[in-house]
Formats: sequence, C-alpha cells, structure tokens
Amino acid sequence: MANKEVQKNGKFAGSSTLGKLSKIDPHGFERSDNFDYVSYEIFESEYLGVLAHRAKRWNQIIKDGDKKTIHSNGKVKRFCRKGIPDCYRAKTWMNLSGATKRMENSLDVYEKLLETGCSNDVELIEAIKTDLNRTFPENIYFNGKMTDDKRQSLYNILLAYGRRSPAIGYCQGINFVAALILLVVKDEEKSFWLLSTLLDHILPQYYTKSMLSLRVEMEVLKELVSSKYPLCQEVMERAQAPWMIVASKWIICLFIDVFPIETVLRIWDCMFVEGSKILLRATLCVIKQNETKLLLCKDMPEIVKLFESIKTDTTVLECHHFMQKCF
Amino acid sequence: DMGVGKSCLLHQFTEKKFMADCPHTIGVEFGTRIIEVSGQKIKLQIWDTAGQERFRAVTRSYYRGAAGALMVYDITRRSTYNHLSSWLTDARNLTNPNTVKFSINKYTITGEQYRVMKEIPAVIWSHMVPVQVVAELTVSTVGNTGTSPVPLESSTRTAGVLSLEDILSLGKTDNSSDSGEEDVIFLIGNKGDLDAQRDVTYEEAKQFADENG
Repeated sequence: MANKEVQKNGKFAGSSTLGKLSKIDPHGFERSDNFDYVSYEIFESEYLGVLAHRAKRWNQIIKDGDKKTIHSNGKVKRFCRKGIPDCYRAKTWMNLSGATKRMENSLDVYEKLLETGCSNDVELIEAIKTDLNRTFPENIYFNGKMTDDKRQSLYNILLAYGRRSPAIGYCQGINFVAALILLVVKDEEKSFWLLSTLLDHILPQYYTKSMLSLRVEMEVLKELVSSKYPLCQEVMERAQAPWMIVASKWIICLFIDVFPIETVLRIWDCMFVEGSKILLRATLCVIKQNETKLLLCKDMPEIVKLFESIKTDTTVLECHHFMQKCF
Repeated sequence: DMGVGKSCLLHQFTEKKFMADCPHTIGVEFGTRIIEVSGQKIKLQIWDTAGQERFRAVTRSYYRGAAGALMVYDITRRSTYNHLSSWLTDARNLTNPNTVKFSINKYTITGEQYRVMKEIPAVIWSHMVPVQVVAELTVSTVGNTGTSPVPLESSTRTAGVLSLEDILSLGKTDNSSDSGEEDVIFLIGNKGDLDAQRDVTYEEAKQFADENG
C-alpha cells in the first residue's frame, strides 16, 4: 500500500523512495534511531494522497488569483486550515502575514541592520552565539554536514532582529522559530521579515523580558481547561502542576520539538493567517486527546512525561486529522 | 546562565552519558533518579530550568518546596560566575531563607577522565560548541554540622558525574542528620575540561561559597 502511494505521488514523496524512508526527512532532520518507521509509513501513505489533492486545489487558487500575491479571504483561510503544499508555503506565509509588504516597503533596512551595531550588541551576540550550535543539531543544514550550512544566515537573522526589536532582543526559542522559517522560506532576508512580522505583529509581547503574553496565555489556558475539561484541571491542581510548566515550551517554540514537524507546519499554516489563537486551539486539542491518560497521572513528573511523549504520538503525527480536530 | 551546561549535567546524572548535542531548555524540564543513601532509596527529582534571565519569570515561582539547588556556572565565562549572586538571591528569597549554607569542595580531573574525554569526537571540541564534560566540580556541601567538607576519592573515579552522585548523597546524609529543614545549595563550576580557557579560579569560587554560607 505504502509503495503504491509513494509511486503514484512520487513528486510529493520528499525523501522516500519506493516506500523505504530515508534517515533524513524532507526538511533535513535526521530521524532518530528509535524513529517509528512503521507508523510513519502508514501515516505517509495516507497523507501523500491528501497532499496531492491539496496541491491540485491550490494550483487552482494560484491560477485564479493574481500570480504574484495571494489575498486572504474565506476560501484561502479554509485552504490554509487544510494545509498549504510545500511548494506554495513560503509564498503564502510571506503574503498572508504581510511580511512581503513590509519587506517591499523597507528596502535596505535588513542590510543596514547587519552593518550597524547597537548599544547592547555584546550581550546580544553572546546570547545568540551560545545557542547557535544548539539549534537543530539534528538537522543537516545546521550541523555542518552540508556546504550550504544555514547557521550564518540564522545568526544574521537573529542579530538583525535583536537590533531592530530591542524590547525582545534575543529570547531562547526564537532561534528554533527562525531556523524553521529559514528551512521553509530559504531566502535569508525574506526569513528575517517573516520572523519580524511574526514576533512583532502576530505574537506581540510573547518574547519580551516580562513574557507577558505567554503568562496571559497560560492563565487563559487554565480557564479554558477548567471549563471544557474540568477533570483534567482537577488532576493538574491536585498534582500542583501549573500549565506554565507543561505548556510554556509549546507556545514559546510554536510547537517545534513538541510535535512532529509535519504537524508544526500545519499549525503554522493557520497561524500566519489567523493569528495566535491557533496556538491555544492546538494546545486544547492535545490535552483533549490525552484526557484519559492525564486522568491516570498521579503527580507532576508523570504529567510531564505524558506530554513529553506526544512528539512520537501517532494521533499528533496524523496532522491532517489533528488539524481537523482543532477546529 | 545560558549554556553553562545544566541540562548536560542532568543528563549525565540521570543517564550516565555525555550528551554532545544537548539542546537548550525552554521553560522547565525534569529528571529523576533513584539513589541509595545509607541503605535507603531516595527518589531525586531534579528540575532543569532555562538559563536565560527572562525565563525566571516563568520558573521562579516553582522554586518553593525544593530541598536544594545546584547553581552552575561556566569556568570559562566570567559573566556566568558574576551572575551567581543574583541566582542565589532568588534561591534564598524563594526557598527557606535562613538555612541555606554553603561550603565547597574540589574535584579534580584525573588521568582516566582525561582519557575518556579524549575519546569524545573531535568535532565537539571546536571552540563554537561548548564542551560540557563535568570534569571538575566546584561543589559545596552543607556546612552547619561543623564537619569539614568530605574529601572525595577522586583518583578512583572514572567520570566526574559519578562524583556528582556522591556529592548529592553526601549532601543528603548531612541533611538527614540535621533538623531536616536544611536546604542545600551546590555550586558547580562546569566545563572543567576547558581549564586552559579558565576565567574564574577555583579559589575565588571557594571564597564566594564561604562568604555566602
């Protein structure tokens, strides 16, 4: 079954050849030794069909509309919820978030940011450098295995962003966000503008020194869980486990290293159009999916362990179903 | 502070393995290990926090109830040492302010450790990647029992991590012989393998510990 699907949809297959999955995924991430190839092939054999269908539908949109820009409307929003094909992802994210416009209106800005230092440069550079080699060391574009290593670009983007937005500077977690943007968008300057748009306009105050929005989100999450899944909240309170401990990483990393990469990208497809609310939708969805298991947890370490395991959980890997359940 | 090797230390302690590509921590992570102290099994629950200043807003409210703390700095980066006092203030304000005591011990690198470290692939020795081998621990144990720091049998150890376990159990032993209300703070000067680039001397770290406990 898997073989057939892959052959049929060969051009979407990324790294897979004839049903045999490569050790490196299409985004350059090296699969760990305990990677569950069997589950993944089952998932992929179905998902490739979905992708092929979506690609066909998106071709239509792109054909119908202006070739250069994609405008946000009800149809596009719906389409984004169903997933943007890889080949249109960069362009769609850039256009719908407003990053393209910002870039066009700010010629030379990026270059100048890289040339001109700022008052807290020393601290900023030290922080960025500390994390540079700790950003996706399992990805071939960030661990020195490729000639087009992206670490210099990542460094430039983080430095330029930190200089431009001193209220944030560099916050751990931004490195992952910027790196994934870079993997999708590929162009350094475009990635910078998408990152700026995301952190300054779509997710304001999440990464500032007070992390105000993050704290607000965690309070909102608590209220939402209390009203939607009161038994879950009871377990959390009994274990004295605040959502901040469990879920702050989810929000800060925008689910990178929390969910499988396919699922992260699907969430981002919505985030660039619909904004931050998708983050709580996905968070609630994963809590709901784990409700039965959560109710069996007796203390905080058990809860933490449960939610750490979602990265390899097939219900989250099946991103298409997962996204449908989010809404 | 960032990149001093907290997670790597924890990983070594719980998994007994050196982790070359240790990712940085966002928020809080957990490690548990069961150790045996005087025939009694104790489950240690260790919280590993993000090192960046702003994450203290996220993590500081969860210090309460802690039985002890490890403060880690990087011996090759003075700034990480200079920030110790603010971490200590946090630890004191948020735990049990009167009972925190310091003393200090030194664990030195042995020939065997050096050999072990040499076997780590060369790539992680490059300057950009922080090497996080725990070869030297500048460590404190509880001081108010009046005993001097217990000497560690450094020559018989093959990895610095083992000594961390010893030290933790030493702390526990001291602790249990006290009122039981004692909070323990360990001071760890990490990355002892980079001794050549040392920026903070053992003596001043000892002085810091003495002055504060």
